[in-house]
Amino acid sequence: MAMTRPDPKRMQLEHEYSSALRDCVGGAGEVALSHAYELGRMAAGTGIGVVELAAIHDTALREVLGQSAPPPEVDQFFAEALSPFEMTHRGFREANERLEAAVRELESFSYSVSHDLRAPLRTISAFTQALADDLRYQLDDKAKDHLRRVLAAAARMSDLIDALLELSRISRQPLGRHAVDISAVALAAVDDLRRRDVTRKLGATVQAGLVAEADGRLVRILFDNLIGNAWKFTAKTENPHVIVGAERRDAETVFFVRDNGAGFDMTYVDRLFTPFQRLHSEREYGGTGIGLATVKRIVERHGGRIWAESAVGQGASFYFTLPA
Amino acid sequence: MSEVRVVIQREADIVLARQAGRQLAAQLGFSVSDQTLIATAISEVARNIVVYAVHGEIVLMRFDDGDRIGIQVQAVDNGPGIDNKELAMRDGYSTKNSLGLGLPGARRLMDDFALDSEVGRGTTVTMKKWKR
Repeated sequence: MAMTRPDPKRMQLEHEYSSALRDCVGGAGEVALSHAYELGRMAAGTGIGVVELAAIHDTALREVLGQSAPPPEVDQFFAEALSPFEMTHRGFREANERLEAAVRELESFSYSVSHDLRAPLRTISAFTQALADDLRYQLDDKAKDHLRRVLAAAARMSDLIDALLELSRISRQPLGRHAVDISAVALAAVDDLRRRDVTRKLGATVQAGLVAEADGRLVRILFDNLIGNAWKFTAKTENPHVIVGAERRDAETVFFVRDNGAGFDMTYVDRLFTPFQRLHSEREYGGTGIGLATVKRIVERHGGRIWAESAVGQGASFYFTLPA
Repeated sequence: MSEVRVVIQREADIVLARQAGRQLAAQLGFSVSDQTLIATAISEVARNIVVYAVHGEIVLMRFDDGDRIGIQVQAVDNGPGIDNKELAMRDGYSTKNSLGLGLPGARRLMDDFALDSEVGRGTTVTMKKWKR
């Protein structure tokens, strides 16, 4: 059985904190304040957080003062103990700002690269097509097949570039917030897919009255991708079906999109939301490999979380939150 | 302009430097929470003297450049000096696992920070905080 052993550093800190606080109440002045700073510094340097330090402070207060009202210097003492955290806090903030700037730079780099790849790709497609037309009576079947493959690869690359541009646009554009009729958006996404491929059938059950304070345009892209996924991975399922709904969990609304398709092995769930990581071969199910990364980006821009549950052959469920 | 000098040789001297800094900051009208930050910054640079230089001084004075007034804190020592100043200002360099403590931490608590050091001659840290 696992036992939680008391951390010796924490015990030492508790002990010293009480004795320094006693000195402070006894009128030790700057000596006690300096000691408080040293203890706060020790805490900040050994991974004891502000919340834990506050608990240590409360315990020491009871120990030193019992029920009597704390004198004003006790607050000063606590402020001195917290001040080293002001240094680490500002340090983290600076590091975070640098990180954000680096991410912004990477995003704009990825945007311009994707954007600049479009023109030469268009040239490749156009001239390959021209070549295929011009030489259609001269080329043998093998050569024609080669040209067809070039065109197919160019079309696929164009899809990838479009998906990358969309992903980076989602990260860069300001986020709007208004009441979005989630049920209507989900139904529209289903209708769209049905219209695009009338040969296929997909049953859909959408819970009525789903709403969220969100960016409607991004939510539409989110459902296009999630329901598009359900559409794709139920291609080999008998009676393919998708369910969209929401449930209350710990005071938050969790939306879900559930299908009865191919599902995936939970061993690889970490890779699911990473761009270009696929859990199924492209030949088997197609797609850019960017869809779920896009979905995750949209959820995160709303300050929400996304996760998935599945088993091979058992369908997949995607859960996400869109906090107001 | 009058200045306060506190000799730093032992840990106990850090307390005196803090006290003098807090007093001057209070006289200059800094808020209580700013006084705490100034005392903390003084602790960090005074600590460096005790740990690395053994002997030095904290020099405190009122600062006035016509535009702003504030407090200037100088830590002066004739210790071994700092070989790589850039490295010394990097987070977690001398104090492992403690992003933001030490010299970089002191810099972030103050408005102005300058590190001057020469190997074999010593180190001078000059920090300022303006009154808002």
